Amino acid sequence: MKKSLSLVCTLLVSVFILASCGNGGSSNTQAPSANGDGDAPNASAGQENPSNQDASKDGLVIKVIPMSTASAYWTALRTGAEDAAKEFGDEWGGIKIQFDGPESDSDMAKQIDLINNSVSAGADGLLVAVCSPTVPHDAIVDAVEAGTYVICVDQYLDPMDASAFYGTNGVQMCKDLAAYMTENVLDGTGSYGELVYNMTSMASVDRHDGFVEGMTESAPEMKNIGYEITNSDIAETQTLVSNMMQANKDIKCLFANNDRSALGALNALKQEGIQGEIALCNVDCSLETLQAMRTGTIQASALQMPYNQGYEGVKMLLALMSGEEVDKEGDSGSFILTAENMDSEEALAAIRQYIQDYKPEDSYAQG
Amino acid sequence: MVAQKKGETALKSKNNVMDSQIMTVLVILFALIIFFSFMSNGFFSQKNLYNILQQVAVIGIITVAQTFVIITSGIDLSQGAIIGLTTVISAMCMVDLKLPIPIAVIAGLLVGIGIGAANGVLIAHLGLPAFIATLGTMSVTEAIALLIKGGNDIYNLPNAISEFGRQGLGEILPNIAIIMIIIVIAMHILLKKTSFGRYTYAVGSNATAAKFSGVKVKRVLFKTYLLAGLLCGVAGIIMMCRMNGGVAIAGKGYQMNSISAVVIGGGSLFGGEGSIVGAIIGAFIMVILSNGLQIMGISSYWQQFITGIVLVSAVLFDTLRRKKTME
Repeated sequence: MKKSLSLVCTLLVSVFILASCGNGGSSNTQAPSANGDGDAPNASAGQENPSNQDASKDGLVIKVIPMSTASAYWTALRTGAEDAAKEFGDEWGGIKIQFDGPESDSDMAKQIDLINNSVSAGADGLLVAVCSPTVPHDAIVDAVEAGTYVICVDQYLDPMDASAFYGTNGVQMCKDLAAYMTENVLDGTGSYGELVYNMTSMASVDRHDGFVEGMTESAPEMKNIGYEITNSDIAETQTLVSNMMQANKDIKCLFANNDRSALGALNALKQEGIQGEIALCNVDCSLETLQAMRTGTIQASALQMPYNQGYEGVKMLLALMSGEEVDKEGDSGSFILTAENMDSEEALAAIRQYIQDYKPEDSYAQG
Repeated sequence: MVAQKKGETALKSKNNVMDSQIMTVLVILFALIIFFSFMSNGFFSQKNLYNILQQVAVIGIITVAQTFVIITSGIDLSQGAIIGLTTVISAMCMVDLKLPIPIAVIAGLLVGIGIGAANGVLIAHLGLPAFIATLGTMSVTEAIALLIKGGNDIYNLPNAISEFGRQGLGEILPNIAIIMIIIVIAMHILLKKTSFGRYTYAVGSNATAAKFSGVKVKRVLFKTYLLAGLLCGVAGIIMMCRMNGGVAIAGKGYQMNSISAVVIGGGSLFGGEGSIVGAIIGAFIMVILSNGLQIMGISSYWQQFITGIVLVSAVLFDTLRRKKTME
């Protein structure tokens, strides 16, 4: 036992000594992106980066780190990044996209590890969809200070200390959704209620703010009966909606700010047998929400653009690396999906960001 | 006299098996280090070694806890949940109740002790199988962590917390790794040099025999789960420092890593076998595998695949080697 213990110690010590010796070599490998002068936090990369020349010869490695790897939404982010890499790769001697995230978005420590490891690996740029607005903050700051450009996509970092942000403008998206509903579906009377998945994440609050703002502008007569928090729990939402309808007989419209809340609302409407009588609109989509759109239970869904985030995110990184300025915050846009436009090419492209290989016939309910 | 001699020989040969098991995992560990050093540029650097030590801290500590439990032929599935609840309670003490950091840390450790004690009572005194008991406490603990703040994360912790989580001794040894190393050494001594350690092995090898030899089996089992809970509390505090926040779901599923590490390091789920040194090398293997593959740019789906293969091969290799030794 003693023998093996001392062996472990000796070996560990020798690893450290070797590592210290090897350190010089490693900083060389990181050189292509290293500014090391603390100027990197600025979105404008005006400063000359002499090592960019090397980077353009050797090719670039860009790490794409989503919240989790098991979802079509994040696969769309990856595809966008890969398409941009193919398109602009030749100018940089090839761009390699490495897609790597935690298995689940609850494993925030893993995301910190991934960011740190990417910097050690000498990645030239990172595209990160943070699991939480604050948990990976310090790791991102460390990366930026080490000279690696970091673009946050999809989710906002608080405070915004990455090189830049490119994601959904939730307020504008839901304002547009409210405008569509009041112009095309509602008659401006009665009341509306909201189903929000929580009131702590910035994305959820922004969607709520945008929808209320949009409704107040375009349908000032309609009464807001307030919001219920669903915790993205379908069964819980169903109960909440049933209670909401009991308490408010003149309810004309429900807004669910994510797809799971929308599914709960759908179940409640089905249970009461009033599909289509109360208008329903939501953010994001799934096969079930698309089927409900076919049957007229959901009138409009606002879809986000993860593909654009991947594509434009890589373009922003390349711009920063060539010393150009980029906007510190950018809007990746959104698409308002309705029964009328859902078979258009544009709509199909937007839907396929959520459901890979989706075909229009998939959303016709079985049997 | 003869029986005693026989017993001593058996113990000696067991120790030899353990030693050669540790040699096996050491060889795997160094093979991995050499492989990744040659295969990628960034792996063998001071910065990355610092990263690895940071990444191993939480898993290392819960692996030590799991080692004790597995030696008694038990299992602790509640580890990840304890980590989550510890971060929430400790963060709440600092942010909502404005209590000083040491009090908040103690509160977090008490969470670990509390859940550990509950596990101990259920398993040692009420005779529930460890798998079921800790599955239950896992579920309850996760629920409490989510209920306290409605699933919301707690931020705006004092700066000292995140500084402690990031900083270290001369950019070589992260603070959180120092805590892990202290725990590893202390627990190694506890397991190998004290009567409690010997009883732990005895209970795991054959609880009935241990009982007839005068070992207070229930008390040993209770203490083991209590200790495991406390260590998970420490891991929770470290997790909070790393994440700079209280997050109810922070440690979800981490127990699977610690179980893997213990098994890779020579622990047997049937009890009576395992060592802190082997298990901690197992934890390093897990972390280095994940770190090295990431740096090589291997996708996370393949990382999962390879980790599974390594786990099974390490155990298979050991089983075959033991068989050969027996023959």
